[in-house]
Amino acid sequence: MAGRAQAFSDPTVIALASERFVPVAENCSPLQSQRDAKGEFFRLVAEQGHYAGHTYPTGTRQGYYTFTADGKVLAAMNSRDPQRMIDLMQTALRRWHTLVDLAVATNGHAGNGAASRADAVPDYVPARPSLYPEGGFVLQLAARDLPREVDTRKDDWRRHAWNLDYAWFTRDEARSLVPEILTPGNRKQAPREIVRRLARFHLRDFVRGEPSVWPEEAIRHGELIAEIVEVSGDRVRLALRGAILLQREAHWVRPEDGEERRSDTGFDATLVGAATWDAARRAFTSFDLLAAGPRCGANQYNNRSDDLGPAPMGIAFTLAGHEPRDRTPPHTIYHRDYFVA
Amino acid sequence: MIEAPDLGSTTLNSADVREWLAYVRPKPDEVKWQSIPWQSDLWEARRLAIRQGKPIFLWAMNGHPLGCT
Repeated sequence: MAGRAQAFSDPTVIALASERFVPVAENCSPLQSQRDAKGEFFRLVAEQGHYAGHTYPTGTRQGYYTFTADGKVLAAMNSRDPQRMIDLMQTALRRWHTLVDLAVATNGHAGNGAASRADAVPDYVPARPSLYPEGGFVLQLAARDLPREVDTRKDDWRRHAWNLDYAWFTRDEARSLVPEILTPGNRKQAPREIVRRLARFHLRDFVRGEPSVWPEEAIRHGELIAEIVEVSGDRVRLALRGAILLQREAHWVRPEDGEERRSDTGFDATLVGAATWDAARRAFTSFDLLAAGPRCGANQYNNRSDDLGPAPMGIAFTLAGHEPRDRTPPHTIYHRDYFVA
Repeated sequence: MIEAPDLGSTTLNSADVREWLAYVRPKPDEVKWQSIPWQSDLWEARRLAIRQGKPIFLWAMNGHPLGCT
Protein backbone atom coordinates (compact mmCIF):
# COMPACT_ATOMS: atom_id res chain seq x y z
CA MET A 1 0.00 0.00 0.00
CA ALA A 2 2.83 2.38 0.82
CA GLY A 3 4.21 1.61 -2.65
CA ARG A 4 1.05 2.85 -4.27
CA ALA A 5 1.47 6.24 -2.62
CA GLN A 6 5.17 6.36 -3.42
CA ALA A 7 4.83 5.65 -7.10
CA PHE A 8 1.75 7.70 -7.87
CA SER A 9 1.91 10.78 -5.63
CA ASP A 10 4.26 12.66 -7.92
CA PRO A 11 2.31 15.29 -9.92
CA THR A 12 4.30 14.63 -13.11
CA VAL A 13 3.61 10.89 -12.86
CA ILE A 14 -0.08 11.59 -12.28
CA ALA A 15 -0.27 13.99 -15.23
CA LEU A 16 1.59 11.70 -17.63
CA ALA A 17 -0.42 8.61 -16.67
CA SER A 18 -3.73 10.48 -16.82
CA GLU A 19 -3.25 12.47 -20.00
CA ARG A 20 -0.80 10.63 -22.24
CA PHE A 21 -1.75 6.99 -21.59
CA VAL A 22 -4.77 4.84 -20.98
CA PRO A 23 -4.01 3.81 -17.38
CA VAL A 24 -5.20 0.38 -16.27
CA ALA A 25 -4.54 -1.66 -13.14
CA GLU A 26 -4.88 -5.42 -12.90
CA ASN A 27 -4.14 -8.27 -10.53
CA CYS A 28 -1.52 -10.22 -12.47
CA SER A 29 -1.73 -13.36 -10.31
CA PRO A 30 -4.55 -14.89 -12.36
CA LEU A 31 -3.41 -13.32 -15.66
CA GLN A 32 -0.04 -15.07 -15.42
CA SER A 33 -1.78 -18.39 -16.10
CA GLN A 34 -5.36 -17.57 -17.09
CA ARG A 35 -6.44 -19.64 -20.10
CA ASP A 36 -8.32 -17.11 -22.15
CA ALA A 37 -7.56 -14.31 -24.61
CA LYS A 38 -6.97 -11.77 -21.87
CA GLY A 39 -4.49 -14.01 -20.09
CA GLU A 40 -2.72 -14.72 -23.38
CA PHE A 41 -2.54 -11.01 -24.16
CA PHE A 42 -1.09 -10.24 -20.72
CA ARG A 43 1.56 -12.91 -21.19
CA LEU A 44 2.37 -11.56 -24.66
CA VAL A 45 3.09 -8.20 -23.02
CA ALA A 46 4.82 -9.53 -19.90
CA GLU A 47 7.19 -11.75 -21.87
CA GLN A 48 8.60 -8.63 -23.56
CA GLY A 49 9.11 -6.97 -20.17
CA HIS A 50 11.53 -6.86 -17.26
CA TYR A 51 10.75 -10.35 -15.90
CA ALA A 52 10.53 -12.14 -19.24
CA GLY A 53 11.33 -15.82 -18.78
CA HIS A 54 11.99 -15.53 -15.05
CA THR A 55 10.95 -18.44 -12.86
CA TYR A 56 13.25 -17.85 -9.85
CA PRO A 57 12.89 -16.76 -7.09
CA THR A 58 9.29 -16.45 -8.31
CA GLY A 59 7.50 -16.38 -11.61
CA THR A 60 5.82 -13.06 -10.84
CA ARG A 61 5.28 -10.57 -13.64
CA GLN A 62 4.52 -7.62 -11.35
CA GLY A 63 5.47 -4.19 -12.55
CA TYR A 64 4.68 -1.31 -14.87
CA TYR A 65 4.25 -1.89 -18.59
CA THR A 66 3.67 0.55 -21.43
CA PHE A 67 2.54 -0.92 -24.74
CA THR A 68 0.39 -0.51 -27.81
CA ALA A 69 -3.16 -1.81 -28.03
CA ASP A 70 -1.92 -4.79 -30.02
CA GLY A 71 0.68 -5.68 -27.40
CA LYS A 72 3.99 -4.22 -28.55
CA VAL A 73 5.86 -3.23 -25.39
CA LEU A 74 7.35 0.28 -25.41
CA ALA A 75 9.03 0.19 -21.98
CA ALA A 76 8.62 -1.78 -18.75
CA MET A 77 10.11 -2.00 -15.27
CA ASN A 78 9.31 -2.84 -11.65
CA SER A 79 10.34 0.17 -9.58
CA ARG A 80 8.26 2.53 -7.44
CA ASP A 81 10.76 5.37 -7.78
CA PRO A 82 8.88 8.37 -9.21
CA GLN A 83 11.79 9.62 -11.33
CA ARG A 84 12.26 6.18 -12.87
CA MET A 85 8.52 6.12 -13.51
CA ILE A 86 8.72 9.45 -15.34
CA ASP A 87 11.71 8.18 -17.36
CA LEU A 88 9.75 5.02 -18.23
CA MET A 89 6.77 6.97 -19.49
CA GLN A 90 8.83 9.49 -21.45
CA THR A 91 10.80 6.69 -23.10
CA ALA A 92 7.54 4.96 -23.96
CA LEU A 93 6.10 8.13 -25.48
CA ARG A 94 9.18 8.66 -27.65
CA ARG A 95 8.90 5.10 -28.96
CA TRP A 96 5.17 5.51 -29.42
CA HIS A 97 5.62 8.60 -31.58
CA THR A 98 8.26 6.80 -33.64
CA LEU A 99 5.75 4.02 -34.29
CA VAL A 100 3.03 6.51 -35.20
CA ASP A 101 5.38 8.38 -37.60
CA LEU A 102 6.38 5.08 -39.19
CA ALA A 103 2.74 4.07 -39.64
CA VAL A 104 1.90 7.41 -41.27
CA ALA A 105 4.86 7.08 -43.63
CA THR A 106 3.96 3.48 -44.50
CA ASN A 107 0.17 3.51 -44.55
CA GLY A 108 -0.71 7.15 -44.86
CA HIS A 109 -2.50 7.07 -41.49
CA ALA A 110 -1.57 6.68 -37.84
CA GLY A 111 -2.22 3.02 -37.18
CA ASN A 112 -1.93 1.56 -33.75
CA GLY A 113 0.20 -1.45 -34.38
CA ALA A 114 -1.87 -4.27 -35.82
CA ALA A 115 -5.08 -2.97 -34.35
CA SER A 116 -6.36 0.34 -35.63
CA ARG A 117 -10.05 0.07 -34.76
CA ALA A 118 -11.69 -0.63 -31.45
CA ASP A 119 -13.56 -3.56 -32.97
CA ALA A 120 -10.17 -5.08 -33.83
CA VAL A 121 -10.10 -6.06 -30.16
CA PRO A 122 -12.59 -8.93 -30.29
CA ASP A 123 -14.93 -10.07 -27.57
CA TYR A 124 -13.71 -13.12 -25.74
CA VAL A 125 -15.04 -15.70 -23.32
CA PRO A 126 -13.43 -15.03 -19.95
CA ALA A 127 -12.09 -18.02 -18.10
CA ARG A 128 -13.44 -16.45 -14.93
CA PRO A 129 -16.65 -14.49 -15.52
CA SER A 130 -17.13 -11.30 -13.56
CA LEU A 131 -19.17 -11.78 -10.41
CA TYR A 132 -19.80 -8.05 -10.02
CA PRO A 133 -23.31 -7.65 -8.56
CA GLU A 134 -24.88 -5.32 -11.15
CA GLY A 135 -27.42 -3.13 -9.37
CA GLY A 136 -26.25 -4.58 -6.10
CA PHE A 137 -24.63 -3.32 -2.96
CA VAL A 138 -20.89 -2.60 -3.19
CA LEU A 139 -18.81 -1.42 -0.25
CA GLN A 140 -15.27 -0.09 -0.12
CA LEU A 141 -13.24 -1.16 2.90
CA ALA A 142 -10.27 0.50 4.54
CA ALA A 143 -8.24 -1.13 7.33
CA ARG A 144 -5.78 0.50 9.69
CA ASP A 145 -4.31 -0.07 13.13
CA LEU A 146 -5.87 2.05 15.89
CA PRO A 147 -3.73 3.98 18.38
CA ARG A 148 -1.99 2.02 21.15
CA GLU A 149 -1.03 3.14 24.64
CA VAL A 150 2.24 1.27 24.37
CA ASP A 151 3.50 1.15 20.82
CA THR A 152 6.46 -1.08 20.07
CA ARG A 153 6.06 -1.04 16.30
CA LYS A 154 8.99 0.22 14.26
CA ASP A 155 8.39 3.73 12.99
CA ASP A 156 8.41 2.68 9.36
CA TRP A 157 5.75 1.61 6.85
CA ARG A 158 4.41 -0.92 9.35
CA ARG A 159 3.30 1.78 11.77
CA HIS A 160 1.56 3.73 9.02
CA ALA A 161 0.18 0.82 7.02
CA TRP A 162 -3.37 0.77 5.74
CA ASN A 163 -5.12 -1.16 3.03
CA LEU A 164 -8.18 -1.22 0.81
CA ASP A 165 -10.61 -3.88 -0.31
CA TYR A 166 -14.14 -4.20 -1.63
CA ALA A 167 -17.17 -6.22 -0.48
CA TRP A 168 -19.93 -7.33 -2.84
CA PHE A 169 -23.56 -8.05 -1.99
CA THR A 170 -26.52 -8.58 -4.27
CA ARG A 171 -29.49 -6.22 -4.47
CA ASP A 172 -31.62 -8.76 -2.57
CA GLU A 173 -28.99 -9.04 0.13
CA ALA A 174 -29.07 -5.27 0.57
CA ARG A 175 -32.84 -5.36 1.11
CA SER A 176 -32.46 -8.21 3.59
CA LEU A 177 -30.64 -5.86 5.98
CA VAL A 178 -33.66 -3.56 6.34
CA PRO A 179 -36.71 -4.34 8.56
CA GLU A 180 -39.77 -5.29 6.46
CA ILE A 181 -42.02 -2.73 8.14
CA LEU A 182 -40.47 0.71 7.90
CA THR A 183 -41.32 2.06 11.33
CA PRO A 184 -38.89 3.67 13.79
CA GLY A 185 -37.78 1.21 16.45
CA ASN A 186 -38.15 -1.85 14.22
CA ARG A 187 -35.08 -4.03 14.13
CA LYS A 188 -33.72 -6.62 11.75
CA GLN A 189 -31.01 -9.16 12.37
CA ALA A 190 -28.79 -9.50 9.31
CA PRO A 191 -29.16 -12.88 7.61
CA ARG A 192 -26.56 -15.47 8.44
CA GLU A 193 -25.09 -15.31 4.93
CA ILE A 194 -24.29 -11.62 5.23
CA VAL A 195 -22.71 -11.98 8.67
CA ARG A 196 -20.77 -14.99 7.42
CA ARG A 197 -19.42 -13.09 4.39
CA LEU A 198 -18.47 -10.09 6.50
CA ALA A 199 -16.76 -12.30 9.05
CA ARG A 200 -14.91 -14.80 6.90
CA PHE A 201 -13.93 -12.58 3.98
CA HIS A 202 -13.88 -9.00 5.24
CA LEU A 203 -12.91 -8.98 8.91
CA ARG A 204 -9.45 -10.22 8.05
CA ASP A 205 -6.35 -8.46 9.30
CA PHE A 206 -5.30 -7.04 5.93
CA VAL A 207 -3.70 -3.82 7.23
CA ARG A 208 -0.23 -4.96 6.11
CA GLY A 209 -0.94 -7.57 3.50
CA GLU A 210 -3.11 -10.39 2.28
CA PRO A 211 -4.30 -12.78 4.98
CA SER A 212 -6.14 -15.99 4.26
CA VAL A 213 -9.90 -16.34 4.62
CA TRP A 214 -11.25 -17.25 8.04
CA PRO A 215 -12.63 -20.80 8.00
CA GLU A 216 -16.28 -21.25 8.94
CA GLU A 217 -15.35 -22.71 12.33
CA ALA A 218 -13.40 -19.57 13.23
CA ILE A 219 -16.68 -17.69 13.70
CA ARG A 220 -17.30 -17.97 17.44
CA HIS A 221 -20.03 -15.34 17.49
CA GLY A 222 -21.60 -13.13 14.85
CA GLU A 223 -24.49 -10.69 14.68
CA LEU A 224 -25.37 -7.46 12.93
CA ILE A 225 -28.58 -5.61 13.75
CA ALA A 226 -30.18 -2.74 11.85
CA GLU A 227 -32.63 -0.55 13.74
CA ILE A 228 -34.79 2.10 12.10
CA VAL A 229 -34.25 5.44 13.81
CA GLU A 230 -36.14 7.73 11.45
CA VAL A 231 -38.43 7.55 8.42
CA SER A 232 -38.91 10.60 6.23
CA GLY A 233 -40.81 9.84 3.03
CA ASP A 234 -38.82 7.18 1.20
CA ARG A 235 -35.74 7.93 3.27
CA VAL A 236 -35.12 5.45 6.09
CA ARG A 237 -32.30 6.09 8.53
CA LEU A 238 -30.83 3.03 10.23
CA ALA A 239 -28.47 2.49 13.14
CA LEU A 240 -26.19 -0.51 12.77
CA ARG A 241 -24.59 -2.43 15.60
CA GLY A 242 -23.25 -5.88 16.19
CA ALA A 243 -20.32 -8.01 17.19
CA ILE A 244 -18.26 -10.69 15.48
CA LEU A 245 -15.65 -12.82 17.24
CA LEU A 246 -13.17 -14.77 15.12
CA GLN A 247 -10.54 -17.17 16.46
CA ARG A 248 -8.37 -19.85 14.92
CA GLU A 249 -4.89 -21.26 14.97
CA ALA A 250 -3.33 -20.35 11.64
CA HIS A 251 -0.64 -22.64 10.29
CA TRP A 252 1.43 -22.57 7.14
CA VAL A 253 4.69 -23.81 5.71
CA ARG A 254 7.24 -21.23 4.67
CA PRO A 255 8.14 -21.95 1.04
CA GLU A 256 11.68 -20.61 1.42
CA ASP A 257 12.79 -23.14 4.07
CA GLY A 258 9.91 -25.57 4.55
CA GLU A 259 9.54 -24.49 8.18
CA GLU A 260 6.09 -24.95 9.69
CA ARG A 261 4.62 -21.90 11.40
CA ARG A 262 1.63 -21.61 13.74
CA SER A 263 -0.09 -18.57 15.21
CA ASP A 264 -3.14 -18.01 17.41
CA THR A 265 -5.10 -15.46 15.45
CA GLY A 266 -8.25 -13.57 16.33
CA PHE A 267 -10.35 -10.46 15.85
CA ASP A 268 -12.91 -9.43 18.47
CA ALA A 269 -14.84 -6.85 16.48
CA THR A 270 -17.59 -4.54 17.59
CA LEU A 271 -19.66 -3.21 14.69
CA VAL A 272 -21.14 0.28 14.86
CA GLY A 273 -22.53 2.48 12.13
CA ALA A 274 -25.37 4.15 10.29
CA ALA A 275 -27.03 3.80 6.90
CA THR A 276 -29.73 5.39 4.78
CA TRP A 277 -32.12 3.24 2.78
CA ASP A 278 -34.09 4.65 -0.14
CA ALA A 279 -37.32 2.69 -0.06
CA ALA A 280 -38.34 3.86 -3.56
CA ARG A 281 -35.07 2.87 -5.21
CA ARG A 282 -34.67 -0.11 -2.88
CA ALA A 283 -31.02 0.77 -2.39
CA PHE A 284 -28.72 2.21 0.22
CA THR A 285 -27.75 5.82 -0.42
CA SER A 286 -25.26 5.85 2.45
CA PHE A 287 -23.62 3.12 4.49
CA ASP A 288 -20.95 3.72 7.12
CA LEU A 289 -19.91 0.87 9.35
CA LEU A 290 -16.90 0.52 11.61
CA ALA A 291 -15.62 -2.84 12.79
CA ALA A 292 -13.12 -2.25 15.56
CA GLY A 293 -11.48 -4.26 18.31
CA PRO A 294 -8.39 -6.17 19.30
CA ARG A 295 -6.74 -8.45 16.75
CA CYS A 296 -3.94 -10.89 17.37
CA GLY A 297 -1.62 -13.29 15.59
CA ALA A 298 -0.16 -13.58 12.12
CA ASN A 299 -0.96 -15.18 8.78
CA GLN A 300 1.41 -16.32 6.07
CA TYR A 301 1.03 -13.22 3.94
CA ASN A 302 -0.13 -10.43 6.27
CA ASN A 303 3.28 -9.30 7.60
CA ARG A 304 2.30 -9.49 11.26
CA SER A 305 4.94 -11.88 12.54
CA ASP A 306 6.63 -8.97 14.39
CA ASP A 307 3.34 -7.62 15.75
CA LEU A 308 1.32 -10.45 17.25
CA GLY A 309 -0.74 -8.22 19.56
CA PRO A 310 -3.35 -8.18 20.81
CA ALA A 311 -3.68 -4.64 19.49
CA PRO A 312 -6.62 -2.63 18.18
CA MET A 313 -7.55 -2.54 14.50
CA GLY A 314 -10.34 -0.79 12.63
CA ILE A 315 -12.04 -1.66 9.35
CA ALA A 316 -14.27 1.03 7.81
CA PHE A 317 -17.02 0.07 5.34
CA THR A 318 -18.39 2.77 3.00
CA LEU A 319 -20.64 2.72 -0.04
CA ALA A 320 -18.40 2.50 -3.13
CA GLY A 321 -18.60 5.00 -5.96
CA HIS A 322 -19.20 4.47 -9.66
CA GLU A 323 -15.73 4.93 -11.15
CA PRO A 324 -14.19 2.00 -13.05
CA ARG A 325 -11.89 1.47 -10.04
CA ASP A 326 -14.96 0.88 -7.86
CA ARG A 327 -15.53 -2.35 -9.76
CA THR A 328 -12.28 -3.73 -8.32
CA PRO A 329 -13.17 -7.20 -7.07
CA PRO A 330 -12.91 -8.23 -3.42
CA HIS A 331 -9.57 -9.87 -2.70
CA THR A 332 -11.26 -13.19 -2.01
CA ILE A 333 -14.00 -13.01 -4.65
CA TYR A 334 -13.06 -16.28 -6.32
CA HIS A 335 -13.10 -18.28 -3.09
CA ARG A 336 -15.68 -20.99 -3.58
CA ASP A 337 -17.65 -19.90 -0.49
CA TYR A 338 -17.85 -16.16 -1.18
CA PHE A 339 -21.36 -16.11 -2.64
CA VAL A 340 -22.47 -19.45 -1.24
CA ALA A 341 -25.51 -19.31 1.04
CA MET B 1 -28.02 2.72 21.26
CA ILE B 2 -24.34 1.93 20.64
CA GLU B 3 -22.36 0.14 23.28
CA ALA B 4 -18.79 1.10 24.03
CA PRO B 5 -16.54 -1.88 23.32
CA ASP B 6 -13.26 -2.55 25.03
CA LEU B 7 -10.51 -1.89 22.50
CA GLY B 8 -7.68 -2.24 24.95
CA SER B 9 -6.11 1.19 24.85
CA THR B 10 -8.82 2.62 22.62
CA THR B 11 -12.45 3.24 23.50
CA LEU B 12 -15.19 3.38 20.89
CA ASN B 13 -18.53 5.00 21.66
CA SER B 14 -21.48 6.39 19.78
CA ALA B 15 -20.21 9.97 19.91
CA ASP B 16 -16.98 9.36 18.09
CA VAL B 17 -17.71 6.56 15.62
CA ARG B 18 -17.64 9.12 12.84
CA GLU B 19 -14.22 10.29 13.98
CA TRP B 20 -12.91 6.74 14.11
CA LEU B 21 -14.26 6.10 10.63
CA ALA B 22 -12.37 9.17 9.43
CA TYR B 23 -9.26 7.95 11.24
CA VAL B 24 -9.35 4.57 9.53
CA ARG B 25 -10.23 5.80 6.04
CA PRO B 26 -7.33 6.91 3.83
CA LYS B 27 -6.40 10.58 3.88
CA PRO B 28 -6.23 12.64 0.65
CA ASP B 29 -2.42 12.48 0.65
CA GLU B 30 -2.60 8.69 0.77
CA VAL B 31 -4.86 8.34 -2.25
CA LYS B 32 -3.39 10.73 -4.77
CA TRP B 33 -3.06 7.71 -7.04
CA GLN B 34 -6.85 7.62 -7.20
CA SER B 35 -6.80 10.88 -9.14
CA ILE B 36 -5.52 8.85 -12.11
CA PRO B 37 -8.52 7.56 -14.12
CA TRP B 38 -7.58 3.91 -13.74
CA GLN B 39 -9.40 1.39 -15.86
CA SER B 40 -9.89 -1.92 -14.11
CA ASP B 41 -9.97 -4.19 -17.17
CA LEU B 42 -7.04 -4.73 -19.52
CA TRP B 43 -9.26 -5.78 -22.41
CA GLU B 44 -11.40 -2.66 -22.18
CA ALA B 45 -8.23 -0.57 -21.90
CA ARG B 46 -7.11 -1.91 -25.30
CA ARG B 47 -10.33 -0.66 -26.90
CA LEU B 48 -10.04 2.68 -25.17
CA ALA B 49 -6.42 3.02 -26.31
CA ILE B 50 -7.47 2.59 -29.93
CA ARG B 51 -10.35 5.03 -29.61
CA GLN B 52 -8.15 7.64 -27.92
CA GLY B 53 -5.00 6.99 -29.99
CA LYS B 54 -2.84 6.49 -26.91
CA PRO B 55 -0.52 3.81 -25.57
CA ILE B 56 -1.50 1.80 -22.49
CA PHE B 57 0.09 2.11 -19.06
CA LEU B 58 -0.46 -1.10 -17.07
CA TRP B 59 0.09 -1.38 -13.32
CA ALA B 60 0.24 -5.09 -12.56
CA MET B 61 0.61 -6.57 -9.09
CA ASN B 62 0.07 -9.89 -7.39
CA GLY B 63 -3.08 -8.76 -5.60
CA HIS B 64 -5.19 -6.03 -7.17
CA PRO B 65 -3.34 -2.68 -7.18
CA LEU B 66 -6.63 -0.84 -6.61
CA GLY B 67 -7.77 -3.15 -3.84
CA CYS B 68 -6.24 -5.46 -1.25
CA THR B 69 -2.60 -6.11 -1.97
